[in-house]
Amino acid sequence: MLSQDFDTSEFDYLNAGNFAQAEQQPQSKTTEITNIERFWNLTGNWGEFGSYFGAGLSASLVVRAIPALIPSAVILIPASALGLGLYALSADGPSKVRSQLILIAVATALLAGNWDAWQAWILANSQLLILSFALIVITLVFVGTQVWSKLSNVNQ
Amino acid sequence: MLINKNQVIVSGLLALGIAGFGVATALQFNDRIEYRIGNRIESNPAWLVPPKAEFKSLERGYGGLKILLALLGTGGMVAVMLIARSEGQQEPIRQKIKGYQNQAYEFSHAAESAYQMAKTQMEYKKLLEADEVAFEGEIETAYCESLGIDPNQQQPALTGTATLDSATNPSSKVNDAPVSAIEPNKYAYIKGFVSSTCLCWGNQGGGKSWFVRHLVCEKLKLGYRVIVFDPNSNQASWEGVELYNSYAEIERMMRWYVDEVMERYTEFCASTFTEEDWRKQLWEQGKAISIICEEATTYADFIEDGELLVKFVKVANTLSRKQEMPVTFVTHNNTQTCFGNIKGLGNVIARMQQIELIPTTDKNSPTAQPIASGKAFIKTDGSDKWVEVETPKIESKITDFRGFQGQKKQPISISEKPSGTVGNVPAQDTINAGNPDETPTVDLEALLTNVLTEVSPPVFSSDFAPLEHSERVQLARLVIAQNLGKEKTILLLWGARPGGRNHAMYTEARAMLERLIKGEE
Repeated sequence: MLSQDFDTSEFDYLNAGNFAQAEQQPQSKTTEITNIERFWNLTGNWGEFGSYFGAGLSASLVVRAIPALIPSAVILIPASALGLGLYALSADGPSKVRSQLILIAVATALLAGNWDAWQAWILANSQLLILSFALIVITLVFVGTQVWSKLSNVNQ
Repeated sequence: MLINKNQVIVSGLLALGIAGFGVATALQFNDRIEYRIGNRIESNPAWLVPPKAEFKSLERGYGGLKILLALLGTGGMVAVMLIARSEGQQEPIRQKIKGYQNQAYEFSHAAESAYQMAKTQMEYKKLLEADEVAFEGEIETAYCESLGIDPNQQQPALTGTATLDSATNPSSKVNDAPVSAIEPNKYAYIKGFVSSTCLCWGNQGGGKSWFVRHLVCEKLKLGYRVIVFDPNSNQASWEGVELYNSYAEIERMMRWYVDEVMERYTEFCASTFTEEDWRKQLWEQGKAISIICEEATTYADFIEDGELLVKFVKVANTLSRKQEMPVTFVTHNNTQTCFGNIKGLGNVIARMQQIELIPTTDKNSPTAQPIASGKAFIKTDGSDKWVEVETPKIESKITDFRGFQGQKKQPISISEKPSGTVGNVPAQDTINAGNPDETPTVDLEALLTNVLTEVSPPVFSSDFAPLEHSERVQLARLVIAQNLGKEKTILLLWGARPGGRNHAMYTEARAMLERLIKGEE
């Protein structure tokens, strides 16, 4: 059939289609990260972790060097940790990650940087610690057994 | 691969920070006492030593060093964090700049390639033309030999559009005078200034007037009718040529010139002549007219109709060649100021064929007057290249041109009417004014100039000046007669370009152009 034989009288050219269909659609461009960008991200993150770690370590060592600060540190450090922990639970996105990072970095610094103090403390309180540990274990075993037996009865 | 020197700094600081923290962590803070209790030897801080223990030695603690290293490590880590974050923000911008630089380099490479290609093409074209000339020379030699003429013998000068055929038939246009004594090759460039519109410029004493007078001789020898506009002269200085030495007359003649050129175009468009035949006919009818505009820089100050001056210069530059009406302008420079700083002429002047006469100082004169150095620079039409040439040596200023006139009398009306002005100058009322009915009601030449210079919208657009259809067609034919190529002509007439969404319009315009060329309306 030739084109002139085709009846175009009722064909609505103006509304036949959408020009955008034939044109190039906008495509979401995936951002390519180069190696140098990866390097800066990695070093930036480790630098941030190191900053928090160093701050915690320095602060704890300064407190140990000046025993007069110990009472305030004993109150402030757990209070700050509790506040930051709650914030980490409620926050979203980068703030959550950052608060978790601070908690981990400072906790690591307090534990690792003062290993000698912790060691001495454990030695000094070894009997109390062993008793506490035994109590915790006994309690957990007892509670666990009770719960397990109750749940087993329900099933029967 | 190391790209940025900050990478080294950051890496170093990070390593030092980690090492500092490692050492600060490993060392013990407090002094410890080594003691013996029973059989065991232990070490503990003083407060954990049992009272019964036997002191053995003291282990020093490193609290101060630990604090120092911890603080230094912290500083290093903060520096690492700040530098890395800053570099991380700048890096995408650097990548973008690098991309642009690559693009620029590629573009520059492409442009260089295009330039080299164009250059090669030009060289090839030149070689081709040279080849053609050599081939024509061979044909001419063979033809002369077949006629029994020695091809090396000096031939009579050919005038006008004389052909080789007419040279063998001396009854038509043969000037028996030998070719000028000037060496032909050395001054061959002058031929280009004889039959084309050109600008002759230079400082005082450069020899402009003398050179132009030499040009007038050449023009007269060739058969041109020469009309001189020289406001600072009299007939005694221009014996044998038509002189107009008042600004009123010059203005009137300018108007006549513009009208004459446009009228010729109208006639040409209405005729069935080819361009070659048309020009041949102009020569045969003695309508080859050349205008010399001396002191053209002063025209703008004294000629009242500024638009006429602009139109005159534009018509002389763009439309005169096909109608055999070249104009030679004599000015003091080649900038827009050479025509009185009239706007809109800058591009026209820049593209003109030009000769710059170079003056030197007369060492024999006590006042060190400037005189012609015999050197000049020429630039051909549309080119930007200046070439140094020698000007002909002329012993004295030529004032009598009667001996140079061609044999054929110019039968054009303006010269044969009696005149009331200087010498044999015609009066204005005899110029193109015999029949007022012939004067077009619409100033087509002005419109044509506007269309060609793209000042006005396309001829067939609704924005164009209100014209009858027949007038538009007439104007369109004038545009077609310019031989600008179909694409350019369609752009000027309909404003359509090939390709794109308006291609259909272009196709339609092309069909209409074909019809116009065939003579349909």
